[in-house]
Amino acid sequence: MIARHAARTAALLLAALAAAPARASEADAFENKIPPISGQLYPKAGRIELTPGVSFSVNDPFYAKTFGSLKLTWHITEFFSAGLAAAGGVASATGSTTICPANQGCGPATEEQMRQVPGKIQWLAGVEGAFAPVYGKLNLSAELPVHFDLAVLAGADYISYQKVVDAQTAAQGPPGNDSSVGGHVGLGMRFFFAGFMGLRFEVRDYLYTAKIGNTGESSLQNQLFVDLGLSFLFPTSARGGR
Amino acid sequence: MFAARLPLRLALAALFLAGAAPARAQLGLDLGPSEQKEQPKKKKADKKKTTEKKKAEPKAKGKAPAKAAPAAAPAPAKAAPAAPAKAPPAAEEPVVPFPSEAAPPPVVPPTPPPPPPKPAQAPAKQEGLTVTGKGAGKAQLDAAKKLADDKAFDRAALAYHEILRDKSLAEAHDEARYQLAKLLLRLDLNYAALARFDEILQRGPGGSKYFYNALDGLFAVGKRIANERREASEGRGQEQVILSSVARFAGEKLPPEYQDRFNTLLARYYFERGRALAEAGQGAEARRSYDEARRLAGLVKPGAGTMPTGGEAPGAGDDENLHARARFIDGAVLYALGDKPASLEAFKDVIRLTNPRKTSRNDPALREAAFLQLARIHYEHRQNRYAIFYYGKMPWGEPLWLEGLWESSYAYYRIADYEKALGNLLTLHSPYFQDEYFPESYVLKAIIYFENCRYPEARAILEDFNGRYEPVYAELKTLTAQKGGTSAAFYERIGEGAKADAKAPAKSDHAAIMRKVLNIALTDKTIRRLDDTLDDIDREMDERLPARPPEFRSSALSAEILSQLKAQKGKLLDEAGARARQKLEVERDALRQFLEQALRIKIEVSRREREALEAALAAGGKVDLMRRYKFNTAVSDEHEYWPYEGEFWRDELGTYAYTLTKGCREGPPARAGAK
Repeated sequence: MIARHAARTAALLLAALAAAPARASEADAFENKIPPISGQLYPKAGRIELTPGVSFSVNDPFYAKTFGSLKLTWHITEFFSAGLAAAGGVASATGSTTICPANQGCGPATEEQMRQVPGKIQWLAGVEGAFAPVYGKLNLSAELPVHFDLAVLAGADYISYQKVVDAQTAAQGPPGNDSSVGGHVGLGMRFFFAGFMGLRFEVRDYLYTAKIGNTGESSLQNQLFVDLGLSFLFPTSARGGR
Repeated sequence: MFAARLPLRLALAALFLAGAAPARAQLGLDLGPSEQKEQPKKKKADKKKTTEKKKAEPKAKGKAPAKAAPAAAPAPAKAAPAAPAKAPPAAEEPVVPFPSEAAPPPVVPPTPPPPPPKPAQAPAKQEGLTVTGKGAGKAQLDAAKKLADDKAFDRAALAYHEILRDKSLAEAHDEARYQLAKLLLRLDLNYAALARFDEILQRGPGGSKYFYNALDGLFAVGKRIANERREASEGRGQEQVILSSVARFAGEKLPPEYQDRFNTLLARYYFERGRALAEAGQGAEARRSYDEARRLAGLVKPGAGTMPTGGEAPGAGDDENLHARARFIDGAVLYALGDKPASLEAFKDVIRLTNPRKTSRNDPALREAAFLQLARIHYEHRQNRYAIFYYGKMPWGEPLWLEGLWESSYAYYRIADYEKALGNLLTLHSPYFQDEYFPESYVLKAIIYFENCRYPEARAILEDFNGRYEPVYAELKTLTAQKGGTSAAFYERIGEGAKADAKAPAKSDHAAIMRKVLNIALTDKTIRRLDDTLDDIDREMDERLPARPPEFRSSALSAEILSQLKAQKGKLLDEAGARARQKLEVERDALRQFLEQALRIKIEVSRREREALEAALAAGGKVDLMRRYKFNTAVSDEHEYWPYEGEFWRDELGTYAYTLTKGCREGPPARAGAK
């Protein structure tokens, strides 16, 4: 796979970080004279994007989350967008948690023990802003270029999770839910299949605080999610201008 | 269709070549006998120049450049309904083939002006000299100087101006005038400074101790203006604005450090003069002028580069290569004289002299122009593959690149490389270049489709062409039919019309047409230069002068500057208007021809379609005119293949090739003369 415009992409990323306007390659005599792309095949500005998808948690030793998600995004410009997102579903023990008490053999954590660890998110919803400075194409095979964009994401979320209780409370049965306001940052890519449809791939790191029962203290939690969704853009037909 | 992309390198070009074309008016060409130029009475000579220039202009009009086909227009095959476009001027004009621009001479390196007699004594700069005037004058000069030293430049300028206004301080005027000019330059009032330097220069070496300093200042102004234009990404910039000033000193003897530049500038001056004389039918005098141009170009020493400007405009034109520029002018003169082989050699020399691997003075814009001239000469002589080679050498994205791309599509057409010809046209017709004026490109495109039996496409292209250019033609007709009114008003009408309409969405269609009309006028490089200068002056009047402190703005100096600028603007508007009218008349006629040509092609398309239908009826079934072409999308290792999907990527421009998948069953008709 040939990554096209690697230099451009890098330049654009740098430009994005510097909050400067997107720039084309340095070796571009038309730079600052004409835009890098004209008649863009997959424009987003002014369009609404609806993305049903699935989210998976990554790298959480206690709970594996598999959520269904729905995201509604308004592309204010080609570069900036704002959206609402919600996800919810199943959080199950990963089975990778092993307890090794003194003078006993190791064994998997019991359900009771699992109630004492964080990460059992029930659902979450939030708002998100994105900046997508990169638009490129990949030559997957000789005559099948795939267009993509790359965005940085950030947002605020309301996260509902199972309370993290102490051992004594855990023994009394399933604890209730708790919630907190958190936020997330991430990276997203969109691969366009057609003017109205694309594949959305995002990696997000959710940050929120949860009170840990055994210590009585609040602790900052990181939950890494991978989202995969199918995007539908409305209106379904659009064509970029100059 | 695909785009193959070559690695590109940043080409920072001094875009002066955009202004390379001849600015006769700005040059103040003297079309009188050469002897007159050497008369010391400059004022009279100047007047004469003006008069004679006016006489010569009408002739020039006739040839005025119409953006058209490359030099020798390809003779369309038999099958072609009409000759593709306008035949290049080469046959008649002793001018380097300008495929797309009939009139302008070979893009002469934008060097400016003149030469000089010998200073009786070696002229030495006298900057800083204080006039040993008596009493008051010296005291006031000292006071003004102190203000300048204290960086109170506005007040210092006012102080010097006060000295100039006081007739009793005449002995201090010389220095005050020069210091004022310097200060105005420092205050970014370039044209005001230019006028002051010019005042000093008009006095000649014997009339002012600051003559040579003023000359230096003149170059500094020219370079600063050129730099500002370059920084504004206008793709242009050269010391054109000072040409008329410098050209007056053709007879002066100048210090050695000025000589190469002056010889180069003056060589250009004589070349332009020769061209104008040739156009006016004064062959013998033109010949003498050409000879003088060659003589002066030959005086420029190898290795001559940019001339220092006393630190006034550091960094400007560091890659300038005067020797190569002189050689370029030599090549242009040789071409005009009909010595094509020698002309080719001269342009090849320019390429060698500007080889970036061998010199830092690689003068990219000059190099680009030399490639273009080489390509045009080969094209003119139907050496299409050589022409394509040189067109291909033109650096991507530089000022002349698009013109070269357009011309090369004709060369590709001639060798029946329709894929590349159409690919180039795809670039030309991309949204990036919607404002560029290449009407003939649609005709060529239609002809290619026609020759490949793609009648519906040919018809669609012609419809598109008519839709785009019929309204433009109508507007051109209306505009050029309007008689009366000053030239300045004519020019302002075009400019303001386009601007005003642009603000009124309801009139957006008309606005778009007016913008096209304006762009057509601006395809004339002289008009473009005049327009740039007008912009500069407007900026100086509307932004820079008002930005000075109140005491400066309300001063007599400010009023004087404003009045000078207005007068200068008026003159430039007049000239731009007159030239724009000529240009638009020429373009109107050319466009009419293209529209007629399009109509002929349409008729021919209809005839072919009817024949096909008749053949089908006779055969009792469908007759297939088309056959599939074999093609592949393989590209060299240096390229990448990208299918074109309707999206334009800037770095793909110029690399498109159209995969003609089908064409005439019996193959495209042979075209006479195609190589």
